[in-house]
Amino acid sequence: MIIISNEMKTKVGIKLDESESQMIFKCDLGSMKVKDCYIDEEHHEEVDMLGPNPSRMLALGVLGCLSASFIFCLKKRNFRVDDFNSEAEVTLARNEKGFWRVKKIDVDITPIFEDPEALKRAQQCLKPMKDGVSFFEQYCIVTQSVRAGIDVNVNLNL
Amino acid sequence: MSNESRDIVGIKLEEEMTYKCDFGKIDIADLFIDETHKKSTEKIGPNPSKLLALSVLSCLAASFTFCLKKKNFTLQDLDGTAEVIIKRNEKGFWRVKEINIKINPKIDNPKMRKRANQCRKFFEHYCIISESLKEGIGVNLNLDY
Repeated sequence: MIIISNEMKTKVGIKLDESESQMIFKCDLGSMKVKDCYIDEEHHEEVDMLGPNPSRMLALGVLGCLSASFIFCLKKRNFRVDDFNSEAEVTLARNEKGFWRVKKIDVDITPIFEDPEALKRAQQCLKPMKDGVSFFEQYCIVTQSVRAGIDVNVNLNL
Repeated sequence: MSNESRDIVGIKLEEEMTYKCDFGKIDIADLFIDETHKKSTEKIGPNPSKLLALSVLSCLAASFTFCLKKKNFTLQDLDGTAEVIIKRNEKGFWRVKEINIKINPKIDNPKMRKRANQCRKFFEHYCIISESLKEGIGVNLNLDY
């Protein structure tokens, strides 16, 4: 990631896999220690899929970001969770023109605390700011951007 | 399914700020979301911004490929990149402002090129992710402890 004072840039890539369907892509995550990562738009049954489809990938981006923001908020006061699970459900629906669109993402975060002081801090992290959005959500880059909308500029080099 | 479809994913804390992804029955090697390490060489998985970028990029690439396949054209190769630009908003919070996508299909057949030129006009409409992101997506949060 390149940080230029008030701007950060990050890059990822994909490459077409050799499958006959041409609907499976291999992720390029640069020098990260990641085993093969595929995005699979070929198979529809989970048991057949070699990797997530783009909707699941988006949901993971939102879920991972919110989870990290919440835990970061706890860590700022040196608290930890004793266990932690979270889940995101993506709902797709057709728009008025008949195209499929992501209508909403429902996120459930379930941390477990044994320390009552950690629970108290968690409640502070949930405290809404002036615009009604909680403190920790404001620090989640992906979720707040997804809510507001993001410009996507496409350059197809034929 | 008719006019609505639902997918579920999950994560579980692995260590510090690293999460293990749960894709249900999808049979894949472990995938982690890593917000613990800052250096790329130390990371054991992408961060959420990179997942978002991969989602948009693969969706657009699949929509384009699908458009060619509708007329039975098969690409020899394709690669693509997504650059995510993150900037501070007026309140000082970091936000994803734009994602710049480059898709490079290898086309050496004039008929396929003709079809690709047709696809260029409408393939983006069939990408669920990029078009939804342009409009904004509702994210509803339930933090339960």
